[in-house]
Amino acid sequence: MATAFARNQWYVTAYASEVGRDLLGRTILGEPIVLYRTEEDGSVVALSDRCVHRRFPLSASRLDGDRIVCGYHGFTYDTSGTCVYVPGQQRIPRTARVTSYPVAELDSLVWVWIGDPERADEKLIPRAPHLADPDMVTVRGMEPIDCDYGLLVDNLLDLSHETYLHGGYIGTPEVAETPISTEVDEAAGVVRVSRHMMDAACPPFYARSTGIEGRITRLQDIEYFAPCLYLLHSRIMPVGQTEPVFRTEITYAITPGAPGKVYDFWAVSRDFAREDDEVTKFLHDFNHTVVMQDVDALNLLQRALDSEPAGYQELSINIDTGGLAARRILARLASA
Amino acid sequence: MTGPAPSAEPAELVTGLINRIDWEPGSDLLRGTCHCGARHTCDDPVEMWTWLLSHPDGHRPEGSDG
Repeated sequence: MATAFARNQWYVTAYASEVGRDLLGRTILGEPIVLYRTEEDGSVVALSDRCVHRRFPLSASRLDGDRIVCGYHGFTYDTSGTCVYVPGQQRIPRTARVTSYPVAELDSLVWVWIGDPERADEKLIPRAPHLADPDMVTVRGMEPIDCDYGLLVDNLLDLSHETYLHGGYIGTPEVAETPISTEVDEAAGVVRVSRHMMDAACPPFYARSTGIEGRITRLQDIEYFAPCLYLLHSRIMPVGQTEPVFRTEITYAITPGAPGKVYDFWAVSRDFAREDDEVTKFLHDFNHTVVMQDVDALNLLQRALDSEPAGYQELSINIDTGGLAARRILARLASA
Repeated sequence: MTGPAPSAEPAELVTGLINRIDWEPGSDLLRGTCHCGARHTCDDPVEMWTWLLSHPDGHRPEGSDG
């Protein structure tokens, strides 16, 4: 069953570094959006990505200063979405305007508000300050997945799948074997899942980035700020020691694109081996491989679900405690 | 009438009220703690969330198992 979209929410639409003087098209909750950065002050503009005239994608058009000139017939829009030029005539129709979306640039992320602009409040945006912390080094990427965004939420709220889907990368037997604690703030829409492994094998992801050769204490503390931001606070240390502590912040933004499509923004930030470019490259490439394992699995899972008769049954067990809470919160946000 | 005015929202929709489920190490049991302090034990997360969200129905005073 498709997970309903929650409107009147902020969604990560791009990394700040992706938005510049080239027009960038993204579709969020089924709404095509074009993004660019102004010459005037470098602020990010987000407009509907369809010209009012014949619906041509503005993201396939060009900028003239801070105005978009439609690549089909030249309808020209300013940063507020107001049409300021139409070809061949003086009168600009009163309805010649494209939707302008509230935008906030925070923590190296570009957030766009989908819903009633009057309700857009930047204070509602959950924070990921480590992404822009000069004391941490971050690698990142984005992969589109052809699946219901709820499948990605499910995937990330239950990390026991690391043992099976990501074995030999980030998974070890202890992940699936270790009980979790789950806390939910229903009204705030926050789910926290903790899995603390006091004596665990060190997976290659950490062995090769930290140099630890033996077993580790591995602490996983998830915070999911529904609907979009997911933080995994990871701390590892050699088993039996309280330090050194290797801190890794793993960030996901789960942004529904359209029904059956989701953007999987991922980032890994670390506070160790910061000057080591080899570690940086390793973590980028290794985590990309891990993300692609999820992408392939979720693409496959969605295709399998699509072939199921309506009303198929699932079975939830203890590992699903956090995911079940997230589903319920998403349903509530979607019906609000 | 004295005391605080009743909240316009259901209790479960007041920010900062935490429901918690601990999976008992070495067992299949889940131990749920409602934001009101009531507790419940079972081995099914669906049943546990149903119990937690039924607050205050069936939730006994703080510390006692519901």
